[in-house]
Amino acid sequence: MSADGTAAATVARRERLKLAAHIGPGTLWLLVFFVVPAFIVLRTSFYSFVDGQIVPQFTLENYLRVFREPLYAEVFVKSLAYGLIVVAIALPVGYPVAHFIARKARRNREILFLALIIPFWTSIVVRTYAWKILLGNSGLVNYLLQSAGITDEPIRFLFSLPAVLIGLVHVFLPYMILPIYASLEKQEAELEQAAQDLGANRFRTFVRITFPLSLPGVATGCMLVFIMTVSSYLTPDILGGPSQAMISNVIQSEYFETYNWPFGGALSVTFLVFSLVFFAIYSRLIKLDGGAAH
Amino acid sequence: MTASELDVELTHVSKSFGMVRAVDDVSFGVGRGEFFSLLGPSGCGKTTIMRMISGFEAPTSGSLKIRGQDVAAQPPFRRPTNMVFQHLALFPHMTVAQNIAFGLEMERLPKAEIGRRVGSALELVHLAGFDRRRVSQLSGGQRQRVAIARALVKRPAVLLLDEPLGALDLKLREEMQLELKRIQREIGTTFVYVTHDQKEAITMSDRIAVINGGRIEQLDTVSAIYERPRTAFVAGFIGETNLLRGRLVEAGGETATVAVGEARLAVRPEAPLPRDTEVLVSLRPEKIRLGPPLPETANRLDGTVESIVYLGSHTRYRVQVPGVGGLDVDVQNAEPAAPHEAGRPVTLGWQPAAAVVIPQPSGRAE
Ligand SMILES: Nc1ncnc2c1ncn2[C@@H]1O[C@H](COP(=O)(O)OP(=O)(O)OP(=O)(O)O)[C@@H](O)[C@H]1O
Ligand SMILES: [Mg+2]
Repeated sequence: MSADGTAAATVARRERLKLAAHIGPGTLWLLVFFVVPAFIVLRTSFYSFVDGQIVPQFTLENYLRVFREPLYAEVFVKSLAYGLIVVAIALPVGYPVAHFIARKARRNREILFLALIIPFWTSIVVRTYAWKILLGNSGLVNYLLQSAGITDEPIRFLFSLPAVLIGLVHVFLPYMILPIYASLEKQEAELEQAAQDLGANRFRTFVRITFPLSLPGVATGCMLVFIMTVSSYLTPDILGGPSQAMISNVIQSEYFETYNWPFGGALSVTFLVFSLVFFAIYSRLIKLDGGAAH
Repeated sequence: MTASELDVELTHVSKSFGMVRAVDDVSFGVGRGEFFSLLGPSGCGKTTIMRMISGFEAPTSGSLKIRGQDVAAQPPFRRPTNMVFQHLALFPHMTVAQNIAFGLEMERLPKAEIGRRVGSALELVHLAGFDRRRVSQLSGGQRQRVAIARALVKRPAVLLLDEPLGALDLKLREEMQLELKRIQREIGTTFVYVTHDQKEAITMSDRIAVINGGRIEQLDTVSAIYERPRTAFVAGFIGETNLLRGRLVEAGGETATVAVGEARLAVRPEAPLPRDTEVLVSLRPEKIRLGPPLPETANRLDGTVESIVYLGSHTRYRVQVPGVGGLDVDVQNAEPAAPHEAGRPVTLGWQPAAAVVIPQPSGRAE
């Protein structure tokens, strides 16, 4: 009996060690590179900024300023709006691609899949600069338009809302396609056949079976693209310039141009809190939805 | 059976996938209200036949009629057939009632009628009161019933079932076999049933087509398939049997004599066979009498008990007969103790009609 107890205790200890070995490194990583910096940002956001100096003196002024000056509310709203617009474009563009790869592509499926993955290996900077070259005043698009005689003067695409949106959709599209592809791929082939067997044509099969069952993938894709867009920094910087600044660009300029870390911190924390609240609501809704889908 | 009474009719149907001939010149007709089974080992083409009937696969050649109509041009969603899929394929995002209503909604029937028919379908499969359950909240047997109800609620001309009980454990399987049989009797729909389980096919079917390598080996009633197998494959696949290779040495009249090794066996061929025909004699273990032979027993062989396996309802003896080989013999366990011991000499006996003679194509390399 006691031997059993000891054995059980050993097993339990081994299980705990195994668990620690599994989650230990990840936890440490998060602690060092996320929790600690976040805590530092949080602390600095309550410091004062006097004559270009950070003074460790408690104040709520930074937060009051975030809400007082309309510029920041505007940037917040603008960033969220960009997020929604990019999702609204990426979903109808990405879904058919995912559907095509999952259902129609037979032989070239691997190639298509590779084409989807390769962008992940390429720096966003490079991919965004490519658009700069394409859309510039002497870029390919303008060259073609001029050669075709559609326009005499080059059209100014860069540093405009469309340029930023094109860049964002391009950069984040794979994050929409992949989760949708995954959820389509794992659907049993028999389900669509059963629908057809019961009298549904292709269109109704898609509407009643394929699409509803892919909703978890759609939700994940939308979520990823939204997060990445709202917090994107490089694309609006490179293709949009100051007039198209999003939250991250504003925060960046507070930290590295005016060196007002306390205010930059307050912006970051406010943004983070908003995001968390948003995710909480979203995942609640999705859970309801996911429940319906499973 | 006249052609107009046939719900399904395949005429010289073949199907090739590239180099693979999955179905090879198959013809059969299924009568109205019949329980018809396709029985055969894995990969013999059963699913392919079902998929051609339901429209998911087009025959490479041959014609296919449902209720007298050629359906070659009809896509699956227009055919008057419904399928119970191997993995059921219940829609996971719908309730039981929504699953069953799906096919009726596709016909754009009025809501009230859909509700009524879903209700009676649920009653038919004994699932009344389960309508609002999610599919994930059902047991294996209950899911099975939903899949059957979902297909039957459409009132198909033919219900196709592709190994629908394959995933269930033995007990539930046997229960569902009887259930399916009851349902079929109640509604009188034509069932085409696929299985690789010969017991299942025997329990449920009116007629069985035994398929091997894409071809029909034998199409017959259940008892004919068991009692009068026409090929060695059928004899071995349906039930168990002793196959003795021999040569017809004496022909004429009702009975003939086959030489198997040193033994001479009296047999009764279905049709007269010429002398020197190479034959297989199929002799089921339960048709052999073990022990002191009755006076009128025509065939007697002396052997030695090699092994004994107790199987509950009966005991299986393996008996070595010099010059013939090993024979399996089943003895009903009417009394608790096994009456014979290993190593003891015994006598086997059977009547000529108990064995089936299967002529072998001459010159067949073995
Ligand atoms: N889509 C396909 N492409 C190529 N070959 C196929 C295809 N479908 C079936 N086959 C081949 O055709 C043959 C018959 O397959 P089928 O699925 O009809 O067998 P089955 O009798 O249903 O077997 P099981 O009992 O294992 O389900 C097999 O050799 C299989 O490999
Ligand atoms: Mg099969």
